[in-house]
Parts: sequence; C-alpha cells; structure tokens
Amino acid sequence: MKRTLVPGLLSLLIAAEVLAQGCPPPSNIPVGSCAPKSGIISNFTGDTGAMRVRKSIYRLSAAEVTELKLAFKKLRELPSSDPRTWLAQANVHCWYCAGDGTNVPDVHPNWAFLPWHRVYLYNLEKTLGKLVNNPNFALPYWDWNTGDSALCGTSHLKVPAPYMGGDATTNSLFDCYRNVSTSSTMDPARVGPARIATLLNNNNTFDLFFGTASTSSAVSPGPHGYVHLFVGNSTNINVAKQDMGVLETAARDPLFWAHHANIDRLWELWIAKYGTPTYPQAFKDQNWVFWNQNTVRTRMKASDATDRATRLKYRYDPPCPLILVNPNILAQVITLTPGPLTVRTAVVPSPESAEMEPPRETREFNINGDTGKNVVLHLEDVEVPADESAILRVYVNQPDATAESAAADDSVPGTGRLVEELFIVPAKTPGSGGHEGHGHKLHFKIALPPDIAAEVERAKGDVAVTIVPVSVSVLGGPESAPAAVNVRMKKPYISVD
Amino acid sequence: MRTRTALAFATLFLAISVTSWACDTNKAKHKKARANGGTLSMAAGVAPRADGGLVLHLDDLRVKAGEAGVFRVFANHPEANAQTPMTHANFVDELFIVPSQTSASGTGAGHNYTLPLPAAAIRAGDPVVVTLVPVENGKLNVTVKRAWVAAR
Repeated sequence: MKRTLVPGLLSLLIAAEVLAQGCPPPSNIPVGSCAPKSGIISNFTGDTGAMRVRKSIYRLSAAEVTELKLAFKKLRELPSSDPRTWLAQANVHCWYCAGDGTNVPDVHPNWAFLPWHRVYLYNLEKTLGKLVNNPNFALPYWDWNTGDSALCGTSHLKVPAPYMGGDATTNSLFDCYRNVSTSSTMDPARVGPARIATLLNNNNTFDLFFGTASTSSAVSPGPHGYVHLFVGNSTNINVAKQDMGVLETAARDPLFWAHHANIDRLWELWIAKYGTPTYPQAFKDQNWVFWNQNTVRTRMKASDATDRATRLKYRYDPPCPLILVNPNILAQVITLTPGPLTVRTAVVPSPESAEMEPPRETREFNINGDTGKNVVLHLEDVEVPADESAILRVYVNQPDATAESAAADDSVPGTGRLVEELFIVPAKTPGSGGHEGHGHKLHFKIALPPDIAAEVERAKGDVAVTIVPVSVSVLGGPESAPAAVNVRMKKPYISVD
Repeated sequence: MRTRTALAFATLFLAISVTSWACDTNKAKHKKARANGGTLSMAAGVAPRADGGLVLHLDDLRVKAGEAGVFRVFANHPEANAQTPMTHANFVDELFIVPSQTSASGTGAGHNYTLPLPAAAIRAGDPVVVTLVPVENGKLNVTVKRAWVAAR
C-alpha cells in the first residue's frame, strides 16, 4: 500500500509544481510522432538578405533581449496548423535523430553533425526574424567557453540570465524541463577556454574535427554533449532528463539554439586556426529538408552550410572586445620611473583568450563614427604603493612628451595626443592581489577620441603609448617630474569593442 | 538472508568491472566488450609507427537507449579510476553521449569515435590497452565492438 501511495503522491507534487510554473504537462517523448508535415519540396537558392551578425548572449542589448523573447513568444503562439511551430521545430531535431523509429539517418554520430545543425539553426533564425519582422534578426550564442577576463567579465558557465527568469508563461526563453538553478555552474575543465583550445589543437584534420560518414565529429561527444547533459540535469549528468538531456526533446528548450550557435561558432574557429578545408564532395552533397520561414519545405545541402557567408549570410561577432596585442605581452610588467616611459602596442591582432582566434572577418579593423565601435586603451594592474598617490599623463603617439612639455601644453585630457590624466589617490589598505607594499591593482579603460582612434586604425594597432608621471605643486606651481615614482603595471594594450 | 544474497550479487556485479579481449592485429579478431557498471578495459592492438601521431578508434560504441554515456578514456592506464584526473599523461578524452530515448533498435545507435592519442603515452610498437572509466558517480553500461589504434 505504502509503495503505491508514495510514488503517487510524488507524482502529484511534481505535477502541481509543474503547473505552478505554468508548464504544460510533461509530455511523452515522441514515438512515431515527430514526422514532418508533408509538402512540395523546393531547393534552397541562397539567402539574398543582408549579413546578419550573431552576438554572444552576454553582449546583447536590452532591446535585443526583448526582441529575442518576443520572437520565441510568437513562435510558441503559432497555431498548430503552422509547420513552423515551436514543437514542430523541435520535432525536426527529433526526426533527424532517428527519434521517430524510422530509418532516417541520425545526424549526430557522423559528419552530418555540424552542417545539419548549421542549416537547422538557419531556418529557425529566419523564421524568428520573420515573426518579429526583422530580416536582420540573428540568434545569440552562449559562449560557455569564454573564461574570466577584464574585458569579458566573469566566465559564462551558468545558464545566461535571459533564459532563467520567470516561468513558461512570462518568459518565452524559459524551459520547465531543465534541472539547473541560477547558481548551477558548469565545470570549466569540460567547456572552458583551455578545453576548447585542446579540442582545436588535437583535432587538426578534417576527419577528426568534422568526422566522417561513419565516425563522430570531435565536437559532438565533447563540450556539445556535456552542455546538453548539464542543462538537462546539472545535479547528475549521468541521469538523462528532458528536454536538453535527451536528443528527441532537446530543441524544445530555447537554450538549445544558443548552445548550438556556439557549437556552430567552433566550426569558424577551427577554420580561423587551420584555414578552410577541402570539403569532400560526399560531405557537401548531404541534404535534408526543413520548413523555411515562408512555410515552404526546402531542401538544403551541406554545401549551403560550408558556404556560410554567401549562402546563409551570417557571421559571428567575437565574444569579447578584440584586443590588438599579442597575449604574451599581457604577462609583462613595466615599472615606471620619474621620467616618461614609452611602450609600443603590438601589431598583430589577437584575442585575449587562449581559446581561439576570432573569425577572420571580425578582424577587420574599421573605426569611424558610423561603426559605433570603441577603441579603448587599457592600462591593467596599475599598482601604486599603499598611502602613496600618483598622477600619470597618458599620450598616444607622442613619445617626446615629458612632464615639462606637459606643463607648457594646455591640452585637456581627451583632446590632442593627451588621452587621459590619471589621479591615483592613496589606498590605506593594500589590495590582496598587490605586491608587498603596493596598494590596489587598478584597471583603466581609456576610450580614445575619434582622431586618435583613426590613427590607431591606420597603424593597425601599432602605436606608441607614453606615460608621464607628473607632480603638481600644492601651491599651483608648474608641473614637473616627481622626485620618485613607484608604479607598476602591465603593458598597455588596445581593444576594439 | 535475502539481503545478504543480494549484497553478494551486487558485490560480484561491481567486481566484474574489467573485461579485456586480446587482438592479434589491430583490426582483426574482435569481440564485443561490455561494461557492466564499472570500468572497461580492452586491448586495442599494437601502436603502429606514425610520424603524424596516433588515433584511437572505438567502433560501434553503444549505450542503452535512454541512458547517457559519460566516461573518460585512458590509454595504457588500466588502473585508472574516477579519481584519475584529466591531466594524467595517459588521458585521451572525455565523452558525453546524449541519450536517445526511442532509438529504432532499442539498444541505442552505434557510435564510432576517433580520438587523438597523447604522444607521450604511446610509442610505436607498444601494445595498447584502452580503459573507459565512468565519472560523476555514473555507471558505465556500454558495449564496444572494437578498439584499435592507427596512424592519423
């Protein structure tokens, strides 16, 4: 009696909790039910729209998050007669993972994995864009592999906030069948930048990274699988749960699309590292059928996926501001003396993270008033001894600047070549990260004015940064070099945001 | 009494955790290797000479329908266990297989994996033993048709 009563009560409690969240009742995993609606099949002819830009979910503006939620809301609200509904989209994934119990080849354990998901995401992206009447709408990506850094903030190992708030009735990005909380954190050893760097380094051939007709892509059982299982059941990844934790239902979770956009981005990072491979013809000839944004059944080929920029018309923005410096330089520390010190930033653009280079197209370094990009000079880990102060003038491309010349110059910081004047006040308590006798480490981000930014652009980031310590008489006397300076910092670098 | 018998069976079940088959050649004779909850070790032939590095093939690896497959792969480290870190020189890879609930076969679809081998762990002419280790308190319920080593 007890044995039957307890599970019964548990079921009731679970059902009550689910209903309280505004969730639909737990549905059975579809068996024989995810076959697509029939219809005449047209061949994909290529996207004729403008280039869409996929951004990190962490870098979306508030308006972009609102639009993303609206798009999924509209998708969920489509009538069941529409072949593009939320469930129909998810069932396409089910269908192509052999979830229907038919002989449709599973696209997961072979080289279909990357191109199939690419064109799958493409069709959803275009559908969402149509639903919000924005042809430039682009899916965000969840860059779980972005590590901690001053530029990117904290690591991205938790489910992004837009997908977590509210419930199924108030947040279209919410999914009832996840087992994650706002504090659930993925293991960086499984998905962090070092793991992805290893993945890219080890799998340096087409067959290893993309797989073959009969072997798995290296990406599929690696970070891809881990994130699926973690979101499905973060407390025990060994126990699979709906939605993300099971192939047939995975795409019911809106997070699926952000996760797979990042998987798709790894393809671009692999190309950035090794160049575009010669795709085998049999690989390019793979084809599948999807419902497009205009409710037309459309056949798409893997060759559409390999020709991403021209056939699918989207690209990825890097997850962090692009740093125009060799990352090795970041480890170097410079020590200021009373005199000016000039250091040069590096020429080679390269990301701050060891994980990867950004896609090549994002390396283009065009700065003008129209692009909205910010060129920022970074002075990191600036340390001044506790109880001491410092005044530092920072110049770009004026290596002859001195304290005395500064005194004769009426430049206001932010005009001319004087880009900033830093007043560092005494800190009574040394920062825990500081060296003995030194105070807090400070990180200054100096937005460069347009004319200097243009110079940086012309020089491809190779500019001279001159830091001039000055002392100012309390009586308002002329500026001069201080008698002693004890300031340390990392080498300056420039980023484009 | 019944409890004691059940306990004995459970102990036996856990104890039979290492199963290995020897192969005369890398791709010749092969028998399906099965893990019943614990680790699985199996011979993978002899490492060939290869300037460009070696890869380990795991052919027709299957997990039960509806079950995730989460395990680490080690080469020539049969004593590896769930505490053996991924930084170990003989660590090959960690695999996360998302389950399919309704696979047509009912036993899960077979997966073929090709995993780069750590250069420091294996030299040409070395016999290779592959060990699959369940992690995160999981149990390894997989079958592997064949493991073999080849040049990249």
